[in-house]
Amino acid sequence: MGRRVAVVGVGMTENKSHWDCSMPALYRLAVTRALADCGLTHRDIQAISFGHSPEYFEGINHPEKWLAEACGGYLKPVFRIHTGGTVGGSAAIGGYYLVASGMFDVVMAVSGNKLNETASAQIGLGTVYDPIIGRQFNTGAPSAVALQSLRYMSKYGYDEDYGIRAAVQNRQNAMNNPYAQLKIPGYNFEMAKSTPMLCYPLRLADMCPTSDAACAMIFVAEDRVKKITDRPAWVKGTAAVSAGVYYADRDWAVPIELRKAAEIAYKQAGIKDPLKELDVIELYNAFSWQELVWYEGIKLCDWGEGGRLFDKGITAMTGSLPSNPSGGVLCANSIGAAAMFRKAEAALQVMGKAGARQVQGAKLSLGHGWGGAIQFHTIMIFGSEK
Amino acid sequence: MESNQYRVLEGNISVPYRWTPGDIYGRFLGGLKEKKILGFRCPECKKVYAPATDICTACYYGFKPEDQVELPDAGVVKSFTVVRANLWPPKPDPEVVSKAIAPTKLVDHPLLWPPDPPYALVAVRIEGADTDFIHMVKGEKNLGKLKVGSKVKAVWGEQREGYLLDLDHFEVV
Repeated sequence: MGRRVAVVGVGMTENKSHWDCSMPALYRLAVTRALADCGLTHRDIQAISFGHSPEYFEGINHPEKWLAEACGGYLKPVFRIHTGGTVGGSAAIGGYYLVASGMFDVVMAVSGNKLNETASAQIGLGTVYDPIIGRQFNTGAPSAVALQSLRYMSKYGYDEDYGIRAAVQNRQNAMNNPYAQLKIPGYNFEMAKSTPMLCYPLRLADMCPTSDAACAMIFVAEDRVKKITDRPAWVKGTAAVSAGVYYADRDWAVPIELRKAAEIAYKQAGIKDPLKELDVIELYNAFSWQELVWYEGIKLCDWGEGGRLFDKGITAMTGSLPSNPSGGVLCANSIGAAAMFRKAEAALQVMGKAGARQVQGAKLSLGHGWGGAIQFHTIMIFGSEK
Repeated sequence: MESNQYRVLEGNISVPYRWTPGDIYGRFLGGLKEKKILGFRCPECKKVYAPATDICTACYYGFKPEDQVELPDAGVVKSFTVVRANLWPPKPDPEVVSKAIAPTKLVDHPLLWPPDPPYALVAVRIEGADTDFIHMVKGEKNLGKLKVGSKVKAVWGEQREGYLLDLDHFEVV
């Protein structure tokens, strides 16, 4: 595992259409908020773990060129990481690796995107598919996840309403999150169910919004932590697992790569029964049904039991293991920052700094990320105790 | 059946974009529309940046509107190159370009394809600035006189709409 490492500061921008600022200004906003959160300055940062998702989203190739100094990386090592939707998770894990390895003591991880800068993020997403066999029918992420969702529904016999109910739970949670984009007062099942069907079985309510946002996290070596904060989030476990790209050979309802990531992270953190031991989880649920599929992936229950776990109310804010107190990706999706938001939210929970969305007494949390269709998953586990 | 081993599948990707300048770049572009070169002075290190940037590189200071300073539309050439050959592929059909670059105001500007040679790419130290404005010198008469240390002055476009090339080029004075 290397050296012990903690998150000491977190910085988030609001998820919205940021017509008010350029891309560098957006990244700088997240970074300065993270620095202010823990009383450090840009001079204290020794290296940058930089995340940004596909260049086609904004038409800015090699984005770390434009953004290195916006992250405080002037005359410092800047490492660009890219794993699609989970890039924010990979950049966070990259920041953790740089400190855990002993090479650096104070590292800034930052990731973001401005998805509103293209006419449609789905055009950019089209370019991630295999140009020989795969790009020809692409209509972006919704259609791909529709295949995953129907596979899950039909395999385990869940009716259409499960997705809607998961979406409603997340939207209601988002009302407590000042950084969420989709905040609809009085949001309920009927409102969600009455939204148009976009690609069966997904209605508009089953999908995430298009956001501009950046998120930053500061990783610090054990011997520096006490001087900076008395409320760190200790990194207890991390995992990044890639599957292959040949989707034709996969059961999309069974995310074995996420299961593997969870098992690795739980082993590092000494977690044997995640449903009992974890206090709060943040999942990359860009689409409603993924909430249930990912429950199974992170081993809260057996394959096929995600919907039944949801029925018990365990993952509601009032349950024993709240999922996505922030409202999750269903309420804010910049892609580039989305997976780092999951890690940052999980860290804030064990720091006791999650504001109105705080799960009282949270000591152990999990933040997840998903990217590259079903290919890449990241997990970080944070604890209030070393 | 033939193997097709050496076939290629041809493609073309056109994606429309809209980039946000934000307040600082936005002010700079607005200045160009009014034939003004605006700089931004870092209150910490006093360096004056022109063209605009959101951040003082060394200080990590984020520029604010009050840091704006108006500079003359003239300066001194610090370095240059005269471009004589066009190494780019031929310009595509204007129809294709307009699809590739959606904000139509940009289509008239050489966003992806450079102007027809000859022209000079120049680094101009605007009077009162501490940075070099990368821009162009055009016209054979100007190119012939161009030296490091040459004094240059802005030649403004007739129609200015708040884009970088509202300043059409610099001429040697």
